[in-house]
Amino acid sequence: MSYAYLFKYIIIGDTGVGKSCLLLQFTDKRFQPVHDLTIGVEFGARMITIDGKQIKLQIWDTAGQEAFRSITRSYYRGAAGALLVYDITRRETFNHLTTWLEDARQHSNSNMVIMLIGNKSDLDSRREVKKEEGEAFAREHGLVFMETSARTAANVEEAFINTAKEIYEKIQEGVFDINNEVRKKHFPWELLAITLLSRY
Amino acid sequence: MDISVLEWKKVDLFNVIAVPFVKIPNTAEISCYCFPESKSSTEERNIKLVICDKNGNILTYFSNWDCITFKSPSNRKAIVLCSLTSNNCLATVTPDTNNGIHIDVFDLNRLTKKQAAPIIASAYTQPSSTPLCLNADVIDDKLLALAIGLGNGDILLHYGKITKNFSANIRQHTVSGNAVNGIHFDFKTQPLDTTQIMFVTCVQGVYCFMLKEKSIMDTKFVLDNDKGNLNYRSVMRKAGDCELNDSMLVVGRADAVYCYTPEGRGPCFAIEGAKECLAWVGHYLIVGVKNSNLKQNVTTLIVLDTENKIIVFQKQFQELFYVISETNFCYVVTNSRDANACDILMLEQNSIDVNIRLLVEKNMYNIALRLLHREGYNSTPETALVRFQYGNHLLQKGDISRATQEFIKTIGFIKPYAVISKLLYSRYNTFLLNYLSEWKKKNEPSSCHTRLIECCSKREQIKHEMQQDDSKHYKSPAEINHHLSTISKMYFACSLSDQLTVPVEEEHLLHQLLEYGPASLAVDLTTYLNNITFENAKESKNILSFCSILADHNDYCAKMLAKIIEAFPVCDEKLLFYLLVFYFKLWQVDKVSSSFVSDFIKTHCLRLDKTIIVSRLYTFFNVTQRIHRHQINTRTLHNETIGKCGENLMKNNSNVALNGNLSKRSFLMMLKSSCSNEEIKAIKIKPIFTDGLMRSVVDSVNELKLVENFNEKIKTSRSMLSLYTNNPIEFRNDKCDICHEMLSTQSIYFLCQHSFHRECLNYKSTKRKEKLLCIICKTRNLISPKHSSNFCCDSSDTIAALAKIVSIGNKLETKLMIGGRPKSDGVTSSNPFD
Repeated sequence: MSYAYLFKYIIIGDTGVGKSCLLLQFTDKRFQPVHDLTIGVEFGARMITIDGKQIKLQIWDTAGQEAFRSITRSYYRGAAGALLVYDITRRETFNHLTTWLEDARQHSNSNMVIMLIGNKSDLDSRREVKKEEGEAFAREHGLVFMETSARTAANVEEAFINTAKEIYEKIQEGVFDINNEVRKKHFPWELLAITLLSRY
Repeated sequence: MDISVLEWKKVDLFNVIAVPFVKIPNTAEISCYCFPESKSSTEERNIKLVICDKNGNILTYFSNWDCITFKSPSNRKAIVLCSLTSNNCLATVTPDTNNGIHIDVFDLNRLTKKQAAPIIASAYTQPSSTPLCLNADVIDDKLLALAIGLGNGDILLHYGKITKNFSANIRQHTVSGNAVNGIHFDFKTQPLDTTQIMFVTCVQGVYCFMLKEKSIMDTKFVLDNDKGNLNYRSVMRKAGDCELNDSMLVVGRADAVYCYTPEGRGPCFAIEGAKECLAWVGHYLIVGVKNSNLKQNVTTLIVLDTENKIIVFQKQFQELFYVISETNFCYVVTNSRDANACDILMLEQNSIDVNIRLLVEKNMYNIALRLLHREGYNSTPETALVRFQYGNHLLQKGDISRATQEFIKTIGFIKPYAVISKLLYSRYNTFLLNYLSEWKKKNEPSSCHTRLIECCSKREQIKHEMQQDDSKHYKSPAEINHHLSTISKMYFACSLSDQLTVPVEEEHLLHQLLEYGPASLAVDLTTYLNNITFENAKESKNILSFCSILADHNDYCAKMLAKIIEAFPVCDEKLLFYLLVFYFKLWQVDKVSSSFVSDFIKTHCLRLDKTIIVSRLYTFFNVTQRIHRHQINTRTLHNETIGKCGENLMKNNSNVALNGNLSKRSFLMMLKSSCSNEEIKAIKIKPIFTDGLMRSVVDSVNELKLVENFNEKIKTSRSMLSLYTNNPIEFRNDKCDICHEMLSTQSIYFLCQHSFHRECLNYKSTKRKEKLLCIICKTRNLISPKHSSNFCCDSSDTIAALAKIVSIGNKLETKLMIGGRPKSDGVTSSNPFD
């Protein structure tokens, strides 16, 4: 399938915050209550439309464990967007956000759009981190904030699509280097398809 | 072992079998080798492996491991690189003394035992550095793509029409400053004008190029230029393999195995270490990791199920050489201890039932189900059984909704009783109703089922009625009390007024009352007691259940019971004994006098034997002494006498005696009482344990018999084995038993002394996993079951044999009835039910 842009995302955050579940919910629209540990980096893709343009999202779902930090770090560089996820029912995952953010800023392009996500919003009774705290953190570090639930699919689409919109705006502003983080498809047959489509 | 490998879950789903009949030269003699990257099942003559040795010989192994050797035509040095194309052409690189290289393309399709493969194209060029890797492929038999990676990071490329001498068409391109160690083509044949893609891996860096005719490499994409780790090996995972949409380049690096598409990085699998080999077999990634710590040449072979994220095989091999992947299994080639040859091992999956058992043992039900799905066992009894076990596992873990989902999927295979019995608790009512309604959709419900569904719906209705007073919504004690009083009113109202109400309703309410009773008591005694009063109860029925909750409030209970007994003089004897027990308890704390208790016993004329036991239980000697004083003139009472009395009682009264069908509740009550009173302990519990003991004795006797049986079987098998080993069979047949032609070409010999041409037996059509039986013996066994009885050892076989006899009998009869048609070929179908 042809597309106008290819955006690469990386999902980061402590182990067990629901990164793989978010990806599964976004790409497959389903929830798997028992998910095995991600060992290395998993991968998913989906097409979305922004401003009438087809955009392919390629998402890297990374392992949260410290042991795989060196592998996941190598994935930052190609990413245009990052979803920094914490679990609202586990305070420590929120406390580690600063470390994750430092890591991301250090190894990625400075223009990378980072979205802060408080996951498991369906477990409100076990909440340890208030929504306001998340919002405050995001404000302080210049991130976009959203609370999601991979189980109920609440805000999952929005999280990914809003990030894509931010990236798209940055491209329009000319901030992004199209050839690196965001690749404009230049396989000739694909380009041909796009031109043909635009002609009719 | 590296940390990352330890992180994966492990189950051994593969095993290794030696393939002793294949002979491959020792690694020291081999200069290079190659095997096809993608397997085509349509081709008649598949090439499995090509080995070039140091003497210039080219050994070609076909799919049946037949080998044809031919010599490279010129008197050059040994071939250093070789590659197989998808249409069975072999490209080779041979260096000469002037730093030049000869590139030859052989057509292996025309290779026969008598005639060497002809060279269809060749070239000579002078590369800028040592050639390190070679890949060649063709598109539509017209375009030849051939690329040689060099030590200085350059590439020699030919991409264009095949010509006899293509020296002029080769171009040199620079990729990076690092040595090129892998080149892979990803060719798409549709649409025809498609730009083809070439992946190049260097020691550092992974690149992707578009190829254009006249050997032009257009548009370079840097897929990875991470300097941190070295790239060891790379392999292509072709599109279409296991529903994979795009081909992927898989690169083994020191920290992990990374996947790339032309669009960039894909997933990665964290397996650390220097990669010796990489291969794909379906969903399985096979990685050979060199052990860095050891001096010996040891490689750990890891098979990773990338879809299920588990390691399904892990074993260390001495001097692992390479891995050849096939569609469902792979060959592992290792250097043998024997200096002249390599060992070939076959790495293949265990049978599906073994794998499922292993996974279920480790509670990996999800993976077991996915494996069954992959093998096409979607709705089979086996899958249903795994689902049922998974449901039980989830139920144990408290995930009832998912358990029910799994149970629902077993409908049609697992008997509904097995599931219903697990969901009978009132708290599982909704789930039971779910299951039953799903069951009803697929089956014709009997009257029992309809009644059960009715009961469940009634329960559900009551639940809805109580919803307004749902205890979960109440957090404060006052609210709980309110909730309770509502329920109790409902309960007593329904138990009193309406005799026609479904018993379930009453029971359900009672359960609720009992469930929330203790919590409410802890908070506020009075409200609860006010609800459970004599005025409310008005009937002896079920009042005892409340007594068990109010165990700490003997005073209250005693009063209430006394009132009830007073109001209903013809009540159950049980109530009297309960009251007696309460009086004893009160007597123990000096709240009532012993004379009061004795008077109670006298006035109500309680049964003597039971009274003695109960009074003994509460060491109320006063009464026992008095009773005994009338019978025997002794002041003291011996434990023995009471013990005997109890024993006799149990023997004579079946309702008192214990039996195996003891309910859990009464057993627990007994245990409780026996723990508080030492003397009663042995008498009460003894029968249960003796019963258990007897059962285990019987069981062990049975097991011993089984062991004996198995020993017998082993003995007979051993004797058979020794018979075969000590008396070698000489095959004297020189004619095929089917066509009666001479056995000159490939033939198959059976132990029964029958032999056939391979073609005659239609060997190819039979699946690899199927048992290949001698067709003559098979037919004979079917026709005269006497022969087959030799092989029948257990009952199931006997039944199978009987079934065969019956079916053959039927068949013969029908044939006779039809009217003596001539027999077609004398071969009976192997399936007796055909």
